[in-house]
Amino acid sequence: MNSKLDSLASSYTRLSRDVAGRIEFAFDLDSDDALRLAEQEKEHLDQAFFVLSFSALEKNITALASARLSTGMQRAGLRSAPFDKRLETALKVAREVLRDEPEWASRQKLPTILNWYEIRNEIAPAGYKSVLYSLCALVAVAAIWAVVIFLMSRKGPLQK
Amino acid sequence: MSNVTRRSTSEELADPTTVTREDVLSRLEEWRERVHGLYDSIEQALRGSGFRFDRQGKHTTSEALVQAAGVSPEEQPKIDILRIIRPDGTNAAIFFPRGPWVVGANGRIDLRLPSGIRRSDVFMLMDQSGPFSSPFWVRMPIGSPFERENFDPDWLLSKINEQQAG
Repeated sequence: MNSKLDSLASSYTRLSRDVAGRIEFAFDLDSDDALRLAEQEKEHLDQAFFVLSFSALEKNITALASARLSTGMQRAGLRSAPFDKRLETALKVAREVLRDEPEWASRQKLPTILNWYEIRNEIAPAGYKSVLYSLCALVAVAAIWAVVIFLMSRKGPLQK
Repeated sequence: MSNVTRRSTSEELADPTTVTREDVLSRLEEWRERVHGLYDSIEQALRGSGFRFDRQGKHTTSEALVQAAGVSPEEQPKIDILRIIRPDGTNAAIFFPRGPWVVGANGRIDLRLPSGIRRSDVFMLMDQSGPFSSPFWVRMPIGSPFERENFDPDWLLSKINEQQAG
């Protein structure tokens, strides 16, 4: 993982431990109110880290998508391009960097990332969406993209 | 089974306005099958170990997506809450189904392991399967969400015994 993602995952783990302690305590107390409150805290925590983790993923996708562009104007143009276009371009670059078509970079995986993008867009401005999260998959995908960025930075921009 | 809900739950969450009443009911039926299938496998694995199984408690969801589709709690398939009870009548484990709509997974059940002596343990069981494929349950402590292991009834039995021993 890269340092930003490492730091996010560590913070999320530490804070999850705190909230879990309150959930377990509320459970032992047999208090529905305390349990509801603690579970709502978890929901808020998961949601906040979903947004942060997705931002890390989006940043990596945009960085990879713009890796082949030579001018600042081109890169600025790409940054404001629709997310699905950036993702398509980044996947193309990733395949070239890896000289392979791994399963995670396949077209079948695109909808998952695009769904997360839609969900993030709904949450970020409104501030809240009452839904359950499992952040493992998102963090794992963000970590894979970070590895591709790392590999690319070692090789330098690929020549066609 | 009807094919009205071939989309993933994340896809439905990303575009909830297109989720119909039929989609919701079909998804909940399919969720009940997965949850009850897990319970059946646990009961089978723990049979003969002295525990009793109580599935009288029922869960219905009040998720926004379900409400928006106009499905009332009375119309929803009732999902069992599984209690595993020790010979002395105390709860050894409680499986509480949370729902199929999870961003990043295909459903979540909370597993509570009361101790009586020390603090209870709470785990999350996430179904990592794709839409309408065989369930693949992984467990993680609620306080350590990245410590994922496959869920196995033998692990549950040893954990229950560990809780009782304190």
